[in-house]
Amino acid sequence: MIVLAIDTAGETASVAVSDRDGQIYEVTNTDSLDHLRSMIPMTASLLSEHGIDKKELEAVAVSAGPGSFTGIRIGMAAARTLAQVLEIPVAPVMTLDAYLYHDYDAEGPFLLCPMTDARRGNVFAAVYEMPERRKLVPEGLYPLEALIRRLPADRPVIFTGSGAASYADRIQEEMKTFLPSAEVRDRQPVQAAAGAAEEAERIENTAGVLPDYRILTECHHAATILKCAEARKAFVNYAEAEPVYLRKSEAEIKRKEGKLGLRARKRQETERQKILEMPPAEEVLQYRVLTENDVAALAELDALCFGKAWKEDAFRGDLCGSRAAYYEGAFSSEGKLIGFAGGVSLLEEGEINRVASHPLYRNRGIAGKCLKRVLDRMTEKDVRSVFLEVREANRSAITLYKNSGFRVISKRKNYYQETGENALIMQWTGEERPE
Amino acid sequence: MKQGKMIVLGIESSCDDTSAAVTADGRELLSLSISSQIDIHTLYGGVVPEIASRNHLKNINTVIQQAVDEAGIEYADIDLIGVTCGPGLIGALLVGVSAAKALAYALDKPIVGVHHLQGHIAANYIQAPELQPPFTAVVASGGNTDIIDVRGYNDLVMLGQTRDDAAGEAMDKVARVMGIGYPGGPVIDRLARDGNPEAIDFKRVMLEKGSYDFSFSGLKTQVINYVNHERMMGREIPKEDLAASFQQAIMEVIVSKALEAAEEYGRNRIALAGGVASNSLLRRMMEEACRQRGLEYYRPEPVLCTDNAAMIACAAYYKAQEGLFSDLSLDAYPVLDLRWGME
Repeated sequence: MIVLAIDTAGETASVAVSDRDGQIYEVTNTDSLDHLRSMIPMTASLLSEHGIDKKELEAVAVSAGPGSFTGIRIGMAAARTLAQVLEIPVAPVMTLDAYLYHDYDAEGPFLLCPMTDARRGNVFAAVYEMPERRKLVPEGLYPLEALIRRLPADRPVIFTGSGAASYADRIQEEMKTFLPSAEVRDRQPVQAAAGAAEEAERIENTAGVLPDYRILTECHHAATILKCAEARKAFVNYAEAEPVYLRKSEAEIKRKEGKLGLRARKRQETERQKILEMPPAEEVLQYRVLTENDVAALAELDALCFGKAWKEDAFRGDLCGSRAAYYEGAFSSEGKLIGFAGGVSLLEEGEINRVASHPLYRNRGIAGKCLKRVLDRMTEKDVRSVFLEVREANRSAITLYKNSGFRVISKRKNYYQETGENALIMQWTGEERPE
Repeated sequence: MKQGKMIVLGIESSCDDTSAAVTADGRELLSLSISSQIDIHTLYGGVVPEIASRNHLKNINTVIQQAVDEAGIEYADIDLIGVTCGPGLIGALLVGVSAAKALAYALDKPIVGVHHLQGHIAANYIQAPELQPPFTAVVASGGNTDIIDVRGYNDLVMLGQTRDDAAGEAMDKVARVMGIGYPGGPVIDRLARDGNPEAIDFKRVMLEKGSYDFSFSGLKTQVINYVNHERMMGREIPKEDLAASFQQAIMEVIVSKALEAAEEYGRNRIALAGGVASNSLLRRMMEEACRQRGLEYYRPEPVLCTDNAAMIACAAYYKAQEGLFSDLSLDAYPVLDLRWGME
């Protein structure tokens, strides 16, 4: 199986890939905490170096934690996204589980104690009987000393993982006082600084005798993650791949413990909701008849509202033309024109020519009110029937007209030349007008 | 490419919104997906970085999928990936950057890292298809209050920024003191509409002559002192008047500095951007001021004012037009110079 494995949970990032023959290749970035920058370029060069196309990948394995939250998120975000786009599954691997698949080059039974640093003297750890991979102490959050005291003294122990690196000194201290014999107490522990090869050499140097314990400081282990994923075959859809956080965030803990003044905050939230739900502020608007003196303001507002605006002359044509004009405007408290409706009439027949409201004052019924005032004045002049045309796509205008008592009476195809849109012709007769 | 147009997928995760969007030829918005965490952070009275990072990871792949589906495209149609790479919360940024890099690698497509502020400004290009540089931009949000001279799509010059609190930050803090919760912007905006902006005389801090920098911490302190004083005297705080007067003091300073900058640099357009650009008073004042001076006024719709990936996709398009690509070693930067990646 061709699997890509990503490990960004620790101090240094590594990626590994397996080819069709089961060969595993791994590369590590020796710069610490450079995961985000380096991980994808490392992947790209590793794959191309071994002639593997990313489209051949059959799964992505990724260390799911526990470990550095930030590191895990870098790896997890990348693994999930690769899987999403390449349509392959993800194998999230628990950091501790992966250690079971490392080659420790040890003879006979021993205890494996992988641990990650959970800060403040705590480790997230487990103890396994090897080579059977049998769980002796289950995964959990332990104070380091308590964990060590639970170890049986009959077998050698291998401590590994980021926790072993962080607490190497304390492990040595603890092992000295814990192990009874003077011989053991004075023995200098063999400590590997780097990878397994060097470690193997040291073991050979001590003539095949395992020390009572070893501390393996972890450098990289994408290959181990890969082996674990292949052995367990625990694949999931990318959307189900979740990181394993050791604990809730500090803020969540404090909130649960009631240390955030939650009650006060709840009060504030209620207050806030009340304010946000208050009905829109009703600015007192002035409505009045518009005259020739208002054409400049009309043209300005019109330009703000329409792509194809009327110029001052067009409004002047209506207001000073031969037909009776009816223009009604709404003014803000600062005296600015913010909405209007206007039309003309000849004998018993009226026509609405323009209705608009300022973008900042929409949905307040301002245009509708102006239109009503126009219709009222037309009625006074014995107008019996009023017409208008509107773009078929202009839903909000059509709703406004319907609410004002207009009914669609016909449709004109391709009425608007520039866009080829249809126009609806609407009529008002004053009879069906809802109050 | 789709129908001969360049398709850009944008990703944004710099603070508390996880977002992905698809644009065609820069300005045409095909889809925008935003997963907001506001309800979560409201519980804490502000954005908690670790919680934000966790939620970004939870949401990132969903918003990407939504953006692609809603745009009606396939992954193979994507020509370019744009992603916010700073400034912002580092833990939040890296989720977006890591996903973006994985996408670029998996699809064999170029990637462009985008400065968050350049993105905010680009929101105006989506809103107003006719807008082109040069113009004066005002970016105001919870993290920024900046006056930027936009000389070209990728030639932005910072003229001034806040020396202490950002406008949105000051509003959040005042709202907290007033006991009206987080975030402060919308609730103060709402209260202010019913208040008298001249009821309380707060000092407008303009700083030294010729400076485009801002300082809002003094104003914030004035408000807090006022509230404490009134409480001590046993008087009820006139919340509406307080909100209106405080907001007026902030916005007057922003508007007047923006106008000065436009004049000094000979720009005839002003564009608002950032979360505070959806403040109704700022929009009204800026519009009115521009009209009086014969300047063109631009502002994005509220959804494009908040952190969103559409603006990032748009900005990435214009960077790509000038060959300003990043590569797969792109990183995330909590602090980032405005001119990063522009030369």
